[in-house]
Amino acid sequence: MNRLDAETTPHAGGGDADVSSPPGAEPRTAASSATLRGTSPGAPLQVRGLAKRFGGVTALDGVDLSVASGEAVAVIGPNGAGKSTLLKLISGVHRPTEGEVWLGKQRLDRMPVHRITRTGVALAHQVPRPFHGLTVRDNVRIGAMAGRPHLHSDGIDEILAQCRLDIKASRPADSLRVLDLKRLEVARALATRPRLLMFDEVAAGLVGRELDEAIDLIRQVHAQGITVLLVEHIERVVRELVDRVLVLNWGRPMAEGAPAEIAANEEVRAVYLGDGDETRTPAARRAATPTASDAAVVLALESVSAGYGDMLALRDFSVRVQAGQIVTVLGANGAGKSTLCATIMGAVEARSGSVHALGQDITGMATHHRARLGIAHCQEGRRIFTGLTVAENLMLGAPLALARDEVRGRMERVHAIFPVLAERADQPAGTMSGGQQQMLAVGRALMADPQVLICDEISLGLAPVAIDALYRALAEINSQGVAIVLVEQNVKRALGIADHAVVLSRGRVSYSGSPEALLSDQALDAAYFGTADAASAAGSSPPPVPSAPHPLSASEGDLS
Amino acid sequence: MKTPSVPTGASKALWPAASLAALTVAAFALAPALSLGQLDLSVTLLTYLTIAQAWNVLAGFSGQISLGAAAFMATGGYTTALTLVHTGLPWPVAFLGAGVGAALLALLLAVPLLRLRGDYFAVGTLAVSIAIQALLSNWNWAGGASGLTLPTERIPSGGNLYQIAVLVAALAMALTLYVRHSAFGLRLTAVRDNEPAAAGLGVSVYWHRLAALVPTSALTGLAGAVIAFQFVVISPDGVASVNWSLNAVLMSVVGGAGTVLGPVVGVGVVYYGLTRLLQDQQTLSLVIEGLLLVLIVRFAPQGVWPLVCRAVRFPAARRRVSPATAETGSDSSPQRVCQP
Repeated sequence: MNRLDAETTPHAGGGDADVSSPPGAEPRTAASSATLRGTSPGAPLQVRGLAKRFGGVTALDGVDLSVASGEAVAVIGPNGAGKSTLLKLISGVHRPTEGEVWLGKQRLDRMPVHRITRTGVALAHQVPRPFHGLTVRDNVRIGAMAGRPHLHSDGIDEILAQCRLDIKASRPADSLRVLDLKRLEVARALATRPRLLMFDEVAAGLVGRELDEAIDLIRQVHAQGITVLLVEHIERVVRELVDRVLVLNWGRPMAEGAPAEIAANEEVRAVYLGDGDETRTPAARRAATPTASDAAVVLALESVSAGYGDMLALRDFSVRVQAGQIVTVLGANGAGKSTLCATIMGAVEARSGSVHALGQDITGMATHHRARLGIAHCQEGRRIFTGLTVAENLMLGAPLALARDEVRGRMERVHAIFPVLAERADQPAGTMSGGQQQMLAVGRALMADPQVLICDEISLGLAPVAIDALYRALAEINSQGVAIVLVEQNVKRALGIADHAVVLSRGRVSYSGSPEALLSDQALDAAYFGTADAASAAGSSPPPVPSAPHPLSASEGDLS
Repeated sequence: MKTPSVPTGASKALWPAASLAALTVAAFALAPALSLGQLDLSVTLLTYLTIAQAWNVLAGFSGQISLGAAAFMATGGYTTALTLVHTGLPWPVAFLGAGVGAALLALLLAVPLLRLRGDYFAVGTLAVSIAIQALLSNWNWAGGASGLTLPTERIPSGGNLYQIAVLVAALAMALTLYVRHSAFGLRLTAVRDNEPAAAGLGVSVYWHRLAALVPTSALTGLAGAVIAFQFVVISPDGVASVNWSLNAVLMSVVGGAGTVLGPVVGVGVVYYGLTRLLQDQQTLSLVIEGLLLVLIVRFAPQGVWPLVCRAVRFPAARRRVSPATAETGSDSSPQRVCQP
């Protein structure tokens, strides 16, 4: 059946020396195809009339996409547009309702996941999924066994080096930080020796030099000749890596073209990119809500240190937040931002120093007492109850003893800020798009009627247009007198709204002052990583992996 | 399966495998030197070791928590008994039939059971076990509730039975060693840790789960045959009792599931520390067993063996890492982790 289908398949790529075998063929054939592939191990991807319906919900409808062998294409679109669904259909996690997926001459849409992987499709996930009990190296070994023939030990070493994991190879996977986990995700995918490698928002949550490194890694993968398909919200990643962009909206293709064309497309701007007003000056907002220097201090941390076990994640941290102020806390992954939030809320105990809020010393106070005092925490990752309705989620944010009328009143105030939560009050929260879920998370925090709102990474993984809406809402919440502590990775947005900026670097404050002074890239990089740190990192980085010959070809030679 | 070209821990398995072989030969040769009482005790311990180790491979390594060991023991025991009672076939045939019967049952049950995961798999296997016990109690050809008596003149006993038990237990240990050090075992661990991720890396989840279920069931079936030989009379209340399943879980978890030597330690601790010591006070024994399980799960979820290893810092044990010991170490030195 596969043979017959294959003969009628349009061969999209062109210039592709691939003679891949149908699924189920002898490993021997695949091995010989590997050597024939030579320096271009990529394969053309053909997606035709792809549709996916979950019950009555259409996640994807009539998507056509052809990616030539060795090409790099990005898929962008608002949250809930069907981007991840597309990747899941190609990698076999979901079965298409309609349509076909072809890689080279092989039809993928009827194969089980592991066979698709062995055919040469790999997916690096947005949320890394390491095997926690295994070492980094064993994690990669699992992927290495997918190829036919298996990838050799030297090949694994090369991949580990390429992903800069070689020095951490014998560490347990769950000791890795975010950036390394993302590298591991890519390393595992590479170990399966893919002909098509898909990246699902791998750059989400990375910032500064981390982002540079991620882009570099994807570029190297592409330079090996592997076909690349990206789903990404970060414009820079798309601009620097791909030649062609597909825009999805409500599960349908909306536009396709070069990155520059797409950026200029009015329709795309309207539904996805937003007004692009990232660098609204803080002064403009502050003019609207002047903060007197003698305003009451609602939250003050005085030389606070906190950590886990032997490790101090936060050292000697001090900050004062005045009523009606927005203070943003920035920093790279692992800088101590979430520990700070946890310390303010009491989930992590302060080892030294003091925390004062709303006129009380709350250093040793239990978390729920702090919440009653008027500090609300909108946690990273939304943490909404997906099975409950939107209204039920909101109700859970209000104190238990609150009178019904008062609950209703607060809910109306939240609805005024987020009208979409009123429209969808009876809908299960899990069925909303990412942006709406984040609004619900903020709305739920507001149900406690806080005087201080702590927002941890609320723009993570959201489309630009959704972030716009969220930030407008934050400004509105702030104008009602709520002080906001904004922990962010989205530097420009956060600086655009804040009155005061603090940058954390490895648990210490590396900058504290006006947001404007941080707007230049140099200042930001210095604050994020420190200049001395930058020099040492540049010196220790491994030499770039040559793009040709194919780094894996050596190991293939060993096997024959 | 074909030897994969990925380097496996084969070289690291050399010493454990050699020790196992030597121990097996030594235990085998020891048979004439043991008294009847010692032989009987050894058979009991070795049978416990077999079922604990089988559970360890199934749950500890492949993540399928089963409460159905008794179902496969009963299948093995009854296959042997029925063959001997109703046919004139010699005992070795009946004995091997126990393994085949249990493996067939596993293949059959795989159809519904492998659709289940986690708690649901555990409940599913428990249901199967209870169903089999009920079936046997009402099956007249198999003796109903009173069970069957094996023809004593045609079954092995004493030293011979002991040697059979040694072989079965050695088989279980060898399977665990293989799973611990092979590429197949590595993939099983991946399936345990994160199924979708494993599938996304080319691991066939279904076949790996099946490949763990069938051999472990066959081993449990063989253990059932040994029990049938040992007790001569088998009944649904004995060989199909859920106590077998619970003991397999308890011994494996107490010792350390997901390790090779954990269940060995577990059998010793549970049998000598509890069953033997408190055999005159059945109720108290049950209470203490439950308490022990709670304490272990709360304070040493990895089991006793990894705990001992960490305390002693086993020199030969710096291999694969276990989650509990996963702290950030220095970049260059390998993790000092115990999981022999």
